[in-house]
Amino acid sequence: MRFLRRNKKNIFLIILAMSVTLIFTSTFFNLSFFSDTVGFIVIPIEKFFCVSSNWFGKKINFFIDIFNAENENIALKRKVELYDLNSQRFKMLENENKKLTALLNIKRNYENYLLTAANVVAKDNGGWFNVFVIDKGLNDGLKNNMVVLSVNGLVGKIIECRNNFAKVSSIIDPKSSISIKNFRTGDLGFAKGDLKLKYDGLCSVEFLDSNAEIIEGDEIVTSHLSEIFPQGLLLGYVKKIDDSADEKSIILEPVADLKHLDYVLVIVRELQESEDFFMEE
Amino acid sequence: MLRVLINIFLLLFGFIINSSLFECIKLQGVKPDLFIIFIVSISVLRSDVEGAIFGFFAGFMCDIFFGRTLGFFALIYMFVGYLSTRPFKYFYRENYLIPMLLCFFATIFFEIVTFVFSFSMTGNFFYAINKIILPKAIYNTILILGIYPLIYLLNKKLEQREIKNSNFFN
Repeated sequence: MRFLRRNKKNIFLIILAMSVTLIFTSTFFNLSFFSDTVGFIVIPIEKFFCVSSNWFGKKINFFIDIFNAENENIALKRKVELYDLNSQRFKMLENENKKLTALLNIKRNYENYLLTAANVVAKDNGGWFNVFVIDKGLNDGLKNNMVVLSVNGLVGKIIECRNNFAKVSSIIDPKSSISIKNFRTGDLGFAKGDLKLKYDGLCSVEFLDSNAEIIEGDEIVTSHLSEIFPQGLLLGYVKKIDDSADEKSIILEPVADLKHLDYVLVIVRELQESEDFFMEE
Repeated sequence: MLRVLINIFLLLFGFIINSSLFECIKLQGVKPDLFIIFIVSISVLRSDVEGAIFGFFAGFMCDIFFGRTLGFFALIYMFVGYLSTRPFKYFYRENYLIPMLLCFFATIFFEIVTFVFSFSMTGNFFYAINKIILPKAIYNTILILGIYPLIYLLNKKLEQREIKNSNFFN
């Protein structure tokens, strides 16, 4: 400590130089050593916290749920019957669809993907961005720019992958921008995160053609132009169109619940025929 | 040595609480930043250089897990630590008003620098001030009231230990 007090200025200058050089070197060189070491220490602790807090939350919810379990059971049973009926119908439709697509020789829009599940262990602590950390990385076969989904729809992509964790930037992050398509009309555009809309879990959409015909409730999917995102993944629905200002502003509501993400699915690769869609641990 | 270990513990603790537990106490999308509170407390209780060192590593953690450039948050947090005790030269550590004031202005400084370097082209500055920067500064200022006494006690214990172990004739 005495050493600290004596060389105050020098130490400060050394740290200053270190952090400035870090900024410049990290853009040119791969400084994965630091990240990997820190990740090796922090991620298991984070995982423990995340898993234990989820566990406690579940236990607490269990006691709350026990009171309305009976009613829920009846309602769910009714729902299951309905779903059974529906699934039979869908099977028939799927068969029919297969036959018809084979006849027409069309490439399928919704392809199947090999998925792997990962826990969300840390969320952004700044409040400016919407970047979160998942507990799988290079060791589990993930790579940079892999696409991340939730059960409902698109969440984002991996911006940096390390040995045992990966950073994911979601579609409402103010720095992200995705090439999209209006499913109904085929108009192309971009979905961009916005600082204002981020807090409500929304993002904005801009179309290349300013006169693009668009109505509320339009389905927005990823376009065929993107190299990272596969074609036809569902982002969300158009929530509001504001025509009053000079520039038309369109607000998109993502289907994935980006405010309460617990676990996500990562697309590892496209699926071969006769393969299970979920990667085994 | 013990002090270094405790600082490392504070670093890990701050990061983990910040990124997991504080999600639950968000108010309108704004959550407090434990790192700024720690940095200001350490800077007040010890020295600006120690605050800067702690800030550097705190920012480094943020960069590794959330940043797009390595070193960006490290630089800003370091400046927060270095500048926090600059305006006041003589004060009592027991006075809670000064850490509160420092925390308020440190948060505003930190957030404005972050905004300028990442959103100055696209973001709306007045919106950011009203909805993000000021609420966060106030939140941090309230939270430091609870955390500063704890760090003060911790520091007192450590200093007593250091005095006991130090050899005056060496």
